[in-house]
Amino acid sequence: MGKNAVILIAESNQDHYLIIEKNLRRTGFGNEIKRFDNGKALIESLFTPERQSVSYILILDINIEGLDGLEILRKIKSDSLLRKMPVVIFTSQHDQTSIDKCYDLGCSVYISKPKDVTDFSDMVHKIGKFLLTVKVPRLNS
Amino acid sequence: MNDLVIVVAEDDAGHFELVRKNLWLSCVDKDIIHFTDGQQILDFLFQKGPGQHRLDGQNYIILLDIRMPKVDGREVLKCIKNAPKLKKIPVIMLTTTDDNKEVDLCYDLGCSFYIVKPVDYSSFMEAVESLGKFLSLDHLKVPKV
Repeated sequence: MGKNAVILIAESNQDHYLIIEKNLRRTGFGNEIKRFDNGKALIESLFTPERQSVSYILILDINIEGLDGLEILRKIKSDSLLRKMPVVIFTSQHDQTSIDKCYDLGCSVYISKPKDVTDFSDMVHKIGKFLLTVKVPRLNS
Repeated sequence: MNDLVIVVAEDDAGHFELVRKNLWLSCVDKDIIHFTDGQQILDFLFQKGPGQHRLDGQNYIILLDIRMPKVDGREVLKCIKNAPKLKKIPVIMLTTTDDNKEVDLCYDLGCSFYIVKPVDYSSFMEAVESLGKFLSLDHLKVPKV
């Protein structure tokens, strides 16, 4: 993943956010990490003209406060430029209907959060290791 | 999730062996199905032709090379993402094509991730190992097709 790609984390749970950030850093990410604890703020930030110059990857908890997570995903994947952005769903919700729906809307991958803190850290580490090898698209082309 | 099947479309036998070996090392319990050109994997997915066909209700994840005989990976991706039944399947591009335009295009077509195969042997092994560990996550949820 290019150094100028920004990692967006849309997560209302402060503890979860901290574990995710810490473990991504531990994996070796030097990239800018931006947190949104509210869905509305995320959408406002994404849908401004200034943002379309860099690459992003979004880690989204569909249970985020402020706006329905599926609606957020739908908005992103309906936009001609934003739709290219890889969206990793990382959430405690894991019923088959939500999983199918998110893939149908175009999420890159759907991962359910483990309850155990050690498993949680370990998982973010593996996700991070993988994301480091991934190329992300430019949203301005 | 034991019923996840990994489908690999890769025409380079050496690359496939490396991928298979490292995937097995990190996710031993998963089946791997291999195709060597774009037409074969399309026939499998669209349940056409005399070869093996995909099963309804099975979970799949696809690793797709771009430069392949008969039908290239980009075209295969397009066919999958345009098919209402198949579009949910996560497709990861695994290719030697290191070109930003191709990266942008594949994400636009709906690939989940785009990975450039490192030219260096040990980096290649490392990348596949990371991929394998990622795919072997118990908490990785995939859609039913």
